Amino acid sequence: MDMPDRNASAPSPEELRALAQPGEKIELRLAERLQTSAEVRHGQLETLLQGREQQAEVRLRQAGVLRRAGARTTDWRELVGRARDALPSPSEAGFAPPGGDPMELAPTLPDEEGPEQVTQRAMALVQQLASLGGGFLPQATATWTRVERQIVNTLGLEHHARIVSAQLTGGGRAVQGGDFHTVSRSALGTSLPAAGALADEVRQRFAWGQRIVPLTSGRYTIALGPQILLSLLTPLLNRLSAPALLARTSPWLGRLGDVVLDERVTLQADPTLPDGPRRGSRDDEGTPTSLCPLIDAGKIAGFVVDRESAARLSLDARGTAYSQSFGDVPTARPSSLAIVPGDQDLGGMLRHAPRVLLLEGWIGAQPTNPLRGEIAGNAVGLYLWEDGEVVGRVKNAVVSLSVFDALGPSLGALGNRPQWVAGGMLQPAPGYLPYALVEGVGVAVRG
Amino acid sequence: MAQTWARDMARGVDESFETWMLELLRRQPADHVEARLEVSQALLLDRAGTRPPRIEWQEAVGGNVRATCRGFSAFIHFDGWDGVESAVSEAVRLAAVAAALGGQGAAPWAEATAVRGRFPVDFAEDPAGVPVEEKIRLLDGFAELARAQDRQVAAVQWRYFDRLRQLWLFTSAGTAIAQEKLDLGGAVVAVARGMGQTAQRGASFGSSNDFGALRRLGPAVEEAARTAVRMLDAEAIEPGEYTVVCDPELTGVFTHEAFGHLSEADGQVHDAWLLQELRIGRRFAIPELHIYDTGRDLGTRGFLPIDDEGTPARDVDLIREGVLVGRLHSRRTAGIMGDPPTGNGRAINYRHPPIVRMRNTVMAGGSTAPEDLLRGIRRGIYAKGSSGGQTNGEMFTFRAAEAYRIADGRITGPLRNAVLTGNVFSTLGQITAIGRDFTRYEGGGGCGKAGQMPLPVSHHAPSLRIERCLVGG
Repeated sequence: MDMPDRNASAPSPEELRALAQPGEKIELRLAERLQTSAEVRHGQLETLLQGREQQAEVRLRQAGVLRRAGARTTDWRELVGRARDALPSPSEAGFAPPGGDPMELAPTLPDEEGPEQVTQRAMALVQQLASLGGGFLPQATATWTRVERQIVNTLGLEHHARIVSAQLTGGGRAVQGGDFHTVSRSALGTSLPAAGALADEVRQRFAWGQRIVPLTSGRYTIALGPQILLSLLTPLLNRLSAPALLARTSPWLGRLGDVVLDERVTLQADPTLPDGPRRGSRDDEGTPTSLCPLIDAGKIAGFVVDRESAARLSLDARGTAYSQSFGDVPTARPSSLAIVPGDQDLGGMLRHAPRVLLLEGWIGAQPTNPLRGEIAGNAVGLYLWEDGEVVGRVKNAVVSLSVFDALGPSLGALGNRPQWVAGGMLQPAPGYLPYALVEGVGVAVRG
Repeated sequence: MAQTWARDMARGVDESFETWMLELLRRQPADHVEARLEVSQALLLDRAGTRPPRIEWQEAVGGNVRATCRGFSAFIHFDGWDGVESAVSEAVRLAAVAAALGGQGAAPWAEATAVRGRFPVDFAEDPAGVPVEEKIRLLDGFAELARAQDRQVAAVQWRYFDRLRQLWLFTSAGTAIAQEKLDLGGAVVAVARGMGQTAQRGASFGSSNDFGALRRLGPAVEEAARTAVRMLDAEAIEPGEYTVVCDPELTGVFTHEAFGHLSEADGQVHDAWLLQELRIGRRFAIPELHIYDTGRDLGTRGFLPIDDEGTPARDVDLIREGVLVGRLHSRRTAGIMGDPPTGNGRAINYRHPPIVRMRNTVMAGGSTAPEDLLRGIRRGIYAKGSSGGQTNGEMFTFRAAEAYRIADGRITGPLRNAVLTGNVFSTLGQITAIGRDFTRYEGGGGCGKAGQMPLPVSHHAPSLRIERCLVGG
């Protein structure tokens, strides 16, 4: 797409310094995102989408006060003037320091970004799923994204990063007699993932769920899929993150080193994972990143803070400030949430007890109290296994969990193969998480 | 600092620009081409505890072009307006690519009729007339009000937003529309701490034309703070089946999640099995149940006199006298199913294509006095307010902001983390009474679908009694 570009390249630190008024420090952030996606439903391409977005943000610091201005299309020089007119906010933080490699550019493969290639990959996945039968209507979405980010400040920081990521999602739905048998699987990568492996996973889950089996309400051993684990981590992350720490509502404030989870649980914000959508040597505020332990062997090991909250809490900024969506102001968020894997494979978990449930999807599982840790959701991917063999799919069941219990005394095992879970509308970050086996989980089933 | 909507940014959209755009679109080699241009200006405020408030201004100028070729579509979005001509060419080219690669033949979209007009906001009180400092003072005042309710109110967080979107839609069929949409809302949330526990409750507000929605929040803030304290010693729910009575706010969310999303036709098209389940004329519930979707309630967040495809708003009955009677459509789904478009093609901003979305989804009031809804319930739950919900079409979950045990027809002690779940097809049949306390509640949240979140919607409803509802906790 041939579009005009007002903010294609950032100035040097020297050019910014020349603009600064006495005592004033300036930071400029420029970002651009190019995205192509194709969504195929019911055998037809429903949407072919291509978009280009830009964002510029100027921050000015002077005498303990921060002023900022941001816009999508305004020339950054004009934003400097707007920032000077903006309402001031008291600020205790400084800008990110210079250092490291100023260029961090992922290679781009031009033949991958084309709408034709993205469409063909989504169509290929749907075609591989078309033979499932049983009224199964397949669907797939392929998305390719390239983000360029430049950060420059008068301290001398000059950093330019390019991140390329791709996601392929496939699945579908079979409706029979009021039963929606829904399956969805995703894969992330730095290039469009292959359709074959994803199609195999969808076929397998569809086969597992063909038969609906009865279950009585009670407590069960459940293997939680990575998607479930990510939603379960939300209240835990809330306790570790700046808003609850600053508001003094987190019970974990000032408790570094306290044991809060099982010793097998090590949770990290990991910007080093090669396929992670949030990767690189600096976060969205320009702070140098590193592998950040949040929970280390069950003990509180660190907090998720941006530069401002780190200063207010007398903590070190550790490179955990990201925008939730492109163009948003970065706030305290982890890079990718990763749990260090254990030693059990999924097959071993499902043979752990005579009866084991496997939960891979639930609806509406968000905590009503963001700090308390209790979550319940309507299970839509709940499979019953007996003696290591799948028996069928359980319907009309609500699964209730406490994260502090599930990753604490009730944790049976952690899986040995983490998988990517894309961050979504309701997820704070992408996750790279294993399966987790949890004992004694409450399941209520409609009689 | 005074806030002004920069309406002069729209100066470029004059009669000659309109003529040029219409001519540009008309001569394209595609079945239909439409261009949307947008200027969006927003103020976002939030504050947690005693830290300084965050003040953020957002401004976006951009647009998109959607072209259709033999029923297939391509969508291009861009920042700024300079690229519109290039985007038209590219969208038309990609629509041809989509038609070549997109699979079996697609049905033509519903005919787009030419609509011309201007649709400005009819303000009750324009938020731009209120200085930012006054907004912060008001919100801080509510935070103080919440803290004053009880010493166990340990922290108060608030958030506020107002956003004015100026939109122009031009189509190859001759449509030329200028439209303004205001959306404002937020919440004041009280966090209570005591007895080794934390609990929270918020007071939320929203409007499409009136800053006064915030000014009137005081009583709700007081009640929210007292409720947060009350919930500190709430007992855990024993998961299982209960008779549940929902207050009007939660009934609205139930209506939206449990039935509204299922009524969106983009989830139905080409699915013969689902359409058999959702055949028009099928009885779903008691004759008193009437659910409809409307874009014509001035001031609500679902107010939408004309949708993002240029279709004027119609009221759409979905269930009348307990029987399925209608669906919600965009032009695409209406074309596939042979129905008229309903004015439900909506996009959250210019970076997304319009898809089928709800506006104000209403459950009409019934005939039962609210207190009579509890009658005869030996073991039940009274669920009040909402913390959101989700659905996959068949199954749904919605979370009550507060819940209480019902014992022998009386509301008793508080319960925590009430998560109400169910299957749409069976749950609608388990509604046994509808309250006559119809309420026009407007909150500051929104609806999420296909990555477009939060879309402003409303859901007005009365209280409701549901038998055998599966509740987790």
